[in-house]
Amino acid sequence: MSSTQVRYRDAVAEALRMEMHRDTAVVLLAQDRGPDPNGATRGFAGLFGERFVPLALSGDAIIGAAAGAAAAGLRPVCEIPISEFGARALGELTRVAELCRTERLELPLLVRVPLGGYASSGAADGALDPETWLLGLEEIRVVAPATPGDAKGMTASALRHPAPVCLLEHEALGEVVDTVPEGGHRTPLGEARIVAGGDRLTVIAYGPAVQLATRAATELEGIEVLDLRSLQPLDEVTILASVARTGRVVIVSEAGRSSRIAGEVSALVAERAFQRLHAQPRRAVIPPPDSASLRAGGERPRAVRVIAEACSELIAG
Amino acid sequence: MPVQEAADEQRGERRDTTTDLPRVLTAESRASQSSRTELLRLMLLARSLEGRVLAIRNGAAAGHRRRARGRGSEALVGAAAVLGPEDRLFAPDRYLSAHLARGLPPETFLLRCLGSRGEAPEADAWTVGYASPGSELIDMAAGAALALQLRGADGVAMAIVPGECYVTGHAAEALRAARPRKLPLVVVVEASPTVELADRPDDEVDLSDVEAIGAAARKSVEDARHGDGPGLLLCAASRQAAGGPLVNGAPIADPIERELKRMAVNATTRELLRPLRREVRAEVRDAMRRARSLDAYWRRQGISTA
Repeated sequence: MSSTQVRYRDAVAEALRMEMHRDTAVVLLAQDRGPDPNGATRGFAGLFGERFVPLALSGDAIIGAAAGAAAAGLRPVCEIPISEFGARALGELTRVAELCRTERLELPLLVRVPLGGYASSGAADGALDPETWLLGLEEIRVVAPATPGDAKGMTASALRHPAPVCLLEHEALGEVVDTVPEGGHRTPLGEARIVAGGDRLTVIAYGPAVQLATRAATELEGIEVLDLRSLQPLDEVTILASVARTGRVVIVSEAGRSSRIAGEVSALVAERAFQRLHAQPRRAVIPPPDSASLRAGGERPRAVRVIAEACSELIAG
Repeated sequence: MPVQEAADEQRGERRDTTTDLPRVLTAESRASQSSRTELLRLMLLARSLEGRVLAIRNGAAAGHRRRARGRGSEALVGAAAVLGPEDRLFAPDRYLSAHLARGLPPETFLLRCLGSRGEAPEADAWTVGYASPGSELIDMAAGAALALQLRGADGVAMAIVPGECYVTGHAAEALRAARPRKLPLVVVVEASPTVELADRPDDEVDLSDVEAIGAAARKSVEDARHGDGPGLLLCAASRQAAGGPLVNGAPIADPIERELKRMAVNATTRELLRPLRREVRAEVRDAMRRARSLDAYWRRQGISTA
């Protein structure tokens, strides 16, 4: 399969476009004042007519409406601006998960979850960590593609999945350009990815932290970088196999220390791979970017340094 | 390919259980004795099932005592009864009579309330109801109405919600979104006398009058079905009032008593009620037996089916 260089947000748009052409049950429910999370579906109204549905609804009501549309035979995609994706929207997702569990309903809907508001509206934004809220809603799959290729592949897979999927789209990744396979490319929803091989330590990350971890890994030798890609469920097999190989693990968290994905991965490793560990699992909480680093193009040297230092300390024992 | 055909094709494997659902109140039969008897039976069945669940729960060694949540609002069966097989209902569990009218097996309700759902027979796939207060069910009904419209289906989506859900703003929001698109949506609000609706309802009826609810709901549903846009129906009373506190100094009429009085013009209430009560008692007993046989939890707990 041939490939081309594509921006992250264009890769999401490409997958949505292809799936909407393939499956006419796919509809886009968007807030009528827009814009969509990252401009990916600009122009879709002209392409798909009545299947692009602007609604005068709040973010949470759009999710509820999408669940109802899914119950009545459609496959909706929810587009909610980051300013609207707050606690009420997450509360509605909790209700959707409850319905799937108690009513044994299959509600095939895709929620594009915007996060990382600091990248578009300044360092003070982005306090909400939706991935943390979504943990525990086991009926909902949560995926966080870190590359344009995965963004395309996971969007396409999500639109064929029978249950709700939340696609975490980090604002900081929207302009990232990378190789994307052409045509009907799909990425499995529950599989992690080894980004760089190594035998001394595993760094586990997701979203934009994967790039930072990869940069930190180049400063040391023998570092394996693992991109989680699927936050719920976790790809336990790949995680445990990697940790068993290296015996050391650093889990990068951009969302904070307590009650986060990093804590869940750390607990998994401690429970299931304790005998293979040479050192205790370590969480590396990277600071959000400050205004200076955002002005400098989001390089985030402080975050890279935090990861590299955590790795060095663990290897040094 | 039109949305309708494609969605049908892709959902071909999905079981559609709506085709044999009863439509209790048809346009022709609304005032007939047989449809009245069926409505009465459903109200009695709902009250009896909920009473049975409460008796078991309140007699349990652990857990907290509960009050009847649906008692007094059984007449909302009149709204659900006008829906056809192609329509969708979104209502909380407390409106049990409405779910029974849509074909919910009684044993499924019992299992849901008292144990796991086990291997309970599935409810109508198009009827959504659970223990939530229900405000999000209004959003869902709006989404289902949108889907029905996009698919070119002839159906209507109905949400039945308590007044406290309405005041959260969900219904006002859904109706505001539904009006310009003329979505086939009907929102039925069971409101206490203190609830003030942000929107002017299309009709306002007494919560204890099953036939008035049915007539008003039928008009709203048919208007929505014929492209006149969404409808808002207010059923006003106090949910807690039946058999309980007074509202404005007067007891609220019990919907079952009220319907019995209406039907008893040519027959005594006792003559009407005796066979119906017998039938309902037998139905509850059978449902308990089926539920027990289906759920290991019940067997472990030794819950009596008597």
